[in-house]
Amino acid sequence: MDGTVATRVMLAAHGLGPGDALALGLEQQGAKVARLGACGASRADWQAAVDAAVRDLGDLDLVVHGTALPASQPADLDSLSLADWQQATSGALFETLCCLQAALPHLRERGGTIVVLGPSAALVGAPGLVPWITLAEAQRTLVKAAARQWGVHSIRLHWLGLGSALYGDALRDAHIPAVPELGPPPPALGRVPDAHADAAALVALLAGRGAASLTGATLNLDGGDWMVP
Amino acid sequence: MTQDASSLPEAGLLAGRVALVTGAGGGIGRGIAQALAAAAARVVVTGRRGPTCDETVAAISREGGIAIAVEMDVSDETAVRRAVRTAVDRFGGLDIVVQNANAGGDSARPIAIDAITGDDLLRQARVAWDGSFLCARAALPHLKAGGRGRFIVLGSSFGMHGAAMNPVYSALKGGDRGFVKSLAREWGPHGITVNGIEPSAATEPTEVFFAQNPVVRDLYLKLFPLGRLGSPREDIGRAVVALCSDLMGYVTGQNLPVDGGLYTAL
Repeated sequence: MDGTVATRVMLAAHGLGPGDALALGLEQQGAKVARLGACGASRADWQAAVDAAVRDLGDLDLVVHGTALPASQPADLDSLSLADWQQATSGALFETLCCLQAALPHLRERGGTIVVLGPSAALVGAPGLVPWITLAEAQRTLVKAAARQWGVHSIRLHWLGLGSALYGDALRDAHIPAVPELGPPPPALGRVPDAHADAAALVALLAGRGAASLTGATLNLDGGDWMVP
Repeated sequence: MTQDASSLPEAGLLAGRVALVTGAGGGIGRGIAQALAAAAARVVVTGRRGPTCDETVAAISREGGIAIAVEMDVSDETAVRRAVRTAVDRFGGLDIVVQNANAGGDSARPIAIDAITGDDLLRQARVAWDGSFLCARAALPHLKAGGRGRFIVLGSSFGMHGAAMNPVYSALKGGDRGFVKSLAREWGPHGITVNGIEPSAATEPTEVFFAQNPVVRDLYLKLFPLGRLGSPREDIGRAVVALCSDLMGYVTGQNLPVDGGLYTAL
């Protein structure tokens, strides 16, 4: 954290495995972090929760948002009910939309940064996780559209893919595709990034002056497993 | 003048196969249904409005193709199961599903993110996402049984670049890419390929808009290296035929822009 930006952070990632460690890492870099719990299922609920968090923080510089893997997954698509599917896809995307909408009034005047977290596996797909990956790719695209609309307000948005190891037990039974690389086992850096130090440092970088000309980006924090073509 | 069907490049490529196309009462869906039929597939033409599906079937029949119309709201679980059952009962199986249905005019409505309502999002998701889910779930046993199943989702370049003018449509189409990649990995062991196509095509509403806004048309077409929008049948439909044929049986999990070179940023 460079001491002038991103000191007030709202984490809207209820139940997301790496969320707590990421928040702790940001706090250790000097940020004040407000952690949102479950925010309800309406835009008004989200607005109330975000407004309360910003009152507690004093202002808002950075929003970090992510969606936890639902209990219904991993599972084959044909084993899911329509209700499971809707909750995991359009229901969750609506919550992301509400989060962005609720943050906008607090960022519109001074600008700021929004980082949406997702699984790096979204870039390659994963069996048993069709709804979650569908959602992640939709969130990644919504980030780009919002970056285009809100750049004029100096609001910058990014999508940050986290390697499966950061999700811990949530992905214990999932079949995450291995990178098609022969030789020494991945990742390229020889270690798996963690949420506490690595993700927090990257999020802080994205919110700082060094990334002031960057928006709508897709970044993949997996130590060099999957490299975008 | 109608070209002799046997001389078309797609002639015979899909002989013996059965295809179901959603949103096939007009536009790109109709073009795809016509191309599949021209390739000798027997086609189940589905859509929310029966009469427009009948028109597609009539156009196919005039060219010697085989098709039936089934009125179907792709977001209706029962209706989707019934349409799949109809395909199997009438034609003996189901080899190809093309999920093309979209939420009509809503998908082209520019909107600010802070003005989007839950209804805006969910109404479009019911068609685009629930439609894909319901079609996939209902078709899977039949796609498995045939041994050469194909599942194709029609996306959009909006889902690749994240269009500012239409965030909901962009997000849903971006999500389709994740659906395709993941389902391809899940269904690969069954021998079923799953692919997406991101088309740019001249549909009737596009033609009307361009006729009214020729300056916009000229500016827009300059974005395309090939200098034109695609034909629903000859360009988009034939790409679908190719992906469904044995010629491209080793391609799966891909999201293929069929857009005259509009989107090359990968």
